[in-house]
Formats: sequence, structure tokens, C-alpha cells
Amino acid sequence: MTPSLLQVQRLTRGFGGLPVVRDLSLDLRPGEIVGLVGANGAGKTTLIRLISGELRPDAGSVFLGGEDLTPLPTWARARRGVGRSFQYPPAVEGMTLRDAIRLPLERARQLGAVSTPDLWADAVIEGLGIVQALNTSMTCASPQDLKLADLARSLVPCPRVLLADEPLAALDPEQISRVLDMLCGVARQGTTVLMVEHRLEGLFAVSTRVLVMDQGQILAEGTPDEILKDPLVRERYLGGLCSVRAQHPSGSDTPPGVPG
Amino acid sequence: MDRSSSATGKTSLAVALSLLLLACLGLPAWTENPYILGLAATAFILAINVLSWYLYAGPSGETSFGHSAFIGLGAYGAAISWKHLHLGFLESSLLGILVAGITGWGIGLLVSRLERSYFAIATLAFQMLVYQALFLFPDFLGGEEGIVGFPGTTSSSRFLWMCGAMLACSLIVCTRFDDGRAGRVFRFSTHAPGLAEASGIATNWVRARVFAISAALAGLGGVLQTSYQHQANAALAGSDLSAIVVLLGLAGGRGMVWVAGLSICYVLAHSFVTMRFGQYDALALKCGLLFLIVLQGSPLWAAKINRPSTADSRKGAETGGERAT
Repeated sequence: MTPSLLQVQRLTRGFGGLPVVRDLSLDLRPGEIVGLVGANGAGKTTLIRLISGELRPDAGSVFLGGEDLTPLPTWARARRGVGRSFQYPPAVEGMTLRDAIRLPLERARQLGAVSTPDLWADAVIEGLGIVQALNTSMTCASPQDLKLADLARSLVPCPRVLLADEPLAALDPEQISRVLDMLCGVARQGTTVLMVEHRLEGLFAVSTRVLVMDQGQILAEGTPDEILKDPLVRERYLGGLCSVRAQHPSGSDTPPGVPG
Repeated sequence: MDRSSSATGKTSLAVALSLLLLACLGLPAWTENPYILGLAATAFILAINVLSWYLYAGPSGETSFGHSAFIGLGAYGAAISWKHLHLGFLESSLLGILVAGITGWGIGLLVSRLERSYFAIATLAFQMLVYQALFLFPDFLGGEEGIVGFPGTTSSSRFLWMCGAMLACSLIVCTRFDDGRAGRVFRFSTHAPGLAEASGIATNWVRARVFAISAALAGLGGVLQTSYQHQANAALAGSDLSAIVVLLGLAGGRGMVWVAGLSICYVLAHSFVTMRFGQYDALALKCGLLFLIVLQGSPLWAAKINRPSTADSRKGAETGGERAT
């Protein structure tokens, strides 16, 4: 069995006495796409923020490739290969989408933290379909372009782990298809993807494993098919959505060819 | 930064530098009156001070109310080095700038974690501490009179050229910073800190570094003012000077060149009003500046503050724009 890349050990975090993530452990292996689903308030985004370093845990640890990341701030984790894309990326006045994508990369290169070739950055930008929008000011860009640019920003430094917070939200079917292709592509190159998502068709189509969170803990874990058949998950989370089926927006049941 | 605004910025800078050159060459040729030459030099010094404030405040939208503390630190740093360490003019001046810059870096590390009113209050508190501290140890710091006798240039026109050259350098540094990659990294770090940190940018270090450069430039202004009046006194770190710097920075908030131009106009207008109308000049001009800020829409707009909308802010954890206070 492939050794774990990202290990989360007994992570706990509460807000004002209310536990949001409780004694949670998980292992992610290189190159797998893990879907993280759960009802609102289940603790998914908090878990992502704990792994990325935006929040400090009350207890527990996060390891990347055996290195303890727990005491490190967000920027230090990012330089070690923890990428993070946001559900609602903010717009910054005076900056274009190109700046937003390339600036962090150039900055990281300056510091010697990344040695990504420009070709890869161009491939990501083209793969996500935002070439036309690159020179648009961030404040004038559509929310979809902002979101895709943010995903590109998180992908161009070739992270070892990508924490994607609802990457499909607000996108149209073609954009969803491009994002899923891209995520499959980076996973084939060895990047581990932890993807929080409510659009289950897309998530189930690309995930190798799905984790269901409920009240700060992992309720169930398995392949998309196993999760769909799990009676506890159907009762607690899927409810009336039991007819959901893993299907890529392009129409096929399996992910199509990916760039790379 | 899109190309059109960058080109406009370059044109404005070229015009400003040409006017500056014209003033530095033309004024001494037109008159040898030390009052007029001194007035122009004072205007240039104030422009440096306001530019240094705007370097941090413009891109970030954070209003420092304690900027005069760094002007005072630069002034006293130079004066102490000259009087007690017996250094020459140049060495003392460099040490003064260094003192302001290093202190700015330390304070920047603390206050750059804050934003909006918290940032403003913290910087104001620092200015008040520095101001009070300057009255301690009167044998060393000179008490109310300050440290007297700091050297300057012998000729008024040379001093004007020196101030003009320093202002030109400050303008170039500030506009290049604002238009360049460093400015964009700073803007990214202040307006979308979560996103910047997730991209591997140590936002607090970036902000502290810019705060330090801003403080060092203010120190330069302090050194020049000390050299002009041959005296470093507590007024250079006073809240009056801070208030003028903030008002001018907000009123001229359309860019570096505007800020510098407005500061020069202010000193000239101040002198004219003082001569014509006597004691109420300062109040009248401050009211005029406030009126100018109101005309621009709001002080926040003037400082190019660009915050996520309230609805965006409510999204909290999901956005990359969250920052601790």
C-alpha cells in the first residue's frame, strides 16, 4: 500500500465551546482525489482551514510527508506544498487575473520555494479556459472567472496537496467539466486533492474515495458507490438525493482524458 | 495594474519630475531670498513626509495616525548621533533614517496584524509614547528646546537642491513601488491576506517591510527638517504634524504625484494665508483640507480603500480576505 502523504491525527477544534471538528483522523495518499461531503455545519471548511493552517487546532496534528506542519503558519505550509483554493475568492483593486495567478508564483520563485516551468502555468490557464479573461481587472471579472483564476493560482505552483473548497460552486457545466478534467490531470501527476463539494455528481465522478462528515467527525468512508449505498449516509445526509449517480458533466460515467 | 493606468502614472511622474527640476533650477535663478528658497525646501520636505505616509496607506487603505513619530525619530536619531556620537552630517543623517526604519520595522510587525480603527489607534498610541519620551532625559534629549545646532548646508539654494533631489528620489521609489510587483504583493497581502498566505506569501512580513520603508522615508523628512531649522525638537513628533500628514494624504489620495503636489501647494498656501490673515491660518487650511476630502466622496474612498462588501465579509471563513484584528 502506498504510504500516506497527508496525515491528520486526532484533530479537534471548537468555537466558543462548541466542537466543530472532533477527534478527526484521516490519511491521504499521493495522487488520490478524496471527496469531502456533509451537511452545512458538518465541519468540512473548518477541517480544510485546520489543514491549511488558517486555524490552529485545539488538539491533534497535521503531517505532510512525515513532517509535522501543526506549528507552521499558512504561508509556510503553502511553501511546503499545501495548496488551497477558496469558495469565494476576493477581488483586489488594481490587479488583473493574470497578476492574481502569476504573482504568488513569481514571489515563491523569488524565495526559491517553487521551480514550476511557465509551460505548466500556461497549460493550467488554458485548461481552465480563462485565457481570454486574463487581462481583466479582478474587480471587473465575473465570479466564475475569479473562481477559476483562484483555482489556477493554487495549481500553478504544483502543490503536493490541494485543498479545494467547493471548486464547482457557481460554475456552468462546461466550466465544471474543465475543472474536473484539471483535477484528474493534477492527480495523475501526483497531487493529492481533498475536495469539499455539494455538487455530488461531479464529485462522485472523479473521487477515488469519499468521506462523509457529520457533526465534526467522519461518518462514513468509501468509494462513491459504497457511500451511495450506505444506509447511514442515506439517512443522515443524502436524504431524497438517493438517486444521485456519479456522472461527469460531459456525459460519461468515467472521467475523460485529462491534460498532463 | 492595467497598462493604461500604468502609462498615465508614468506621464504624471515625468511631469512632476520636470516641474520639480524647473523649480529647483528656476527659483534660485529668480531670487536669492532665503525665505522663499526655504519655503520651497519646506514644501518639498512636507511632500516627502506625506509621500512616506501614503506609501503604506495608499495601497493598503490603513490610516496611520502616528506617522510623525517616525519623522521625530529620524530627526532625533540624526541629532543625537551628531551631538553625542560626534558623527558628521552625512553619517548622522543616515543613522537617523536607519533608526526610523528599524523602529518602523519593529512597530510594523506589531501593528500590521491590525486593521482599520485598531491600526489607527495603535499607531496613534505609539506616536504619543514617542512624543512623551522626547521630554525625558533633558540632559540627553534637550527637553522642550530639543537638540540645537544640527548642521545644514551653508547656502539656501544648495539646501533646496538637496531637498528637491530627495523628493525626486522619494517620488520615483514610491511610484515604482506602487506600480511594480512589490506594490502588487503588498496590495495582495493587505486586501486578500488569506489568499496571499495560501499562496506562500508571509503577509505580516511583507506589511512590516513596507511599514519600515515608509518609516525610513519619514525619517529622511525628519532629518531634512532638522537640518533646515538646525534643531530637533518634540514638535517634529507631534500630533499636529501627524494630522497634517494624514489630511494631505487623504485629500490627495489619487496617487503619489497628487499627494506630493498637494503637499507643496499646502505649504505655499499656508505661507500666503499666514501673511495675509494672521493667526487663524492653520485652522482655516485644515478645514479646507477636510472640505477637499468630503468633496472627494469620503476619506475612505480618498485612501483608495477597497474592502470586500459587507455581504462578502459575512462569508468569513470561505473567503480568502479574512484578517485578524
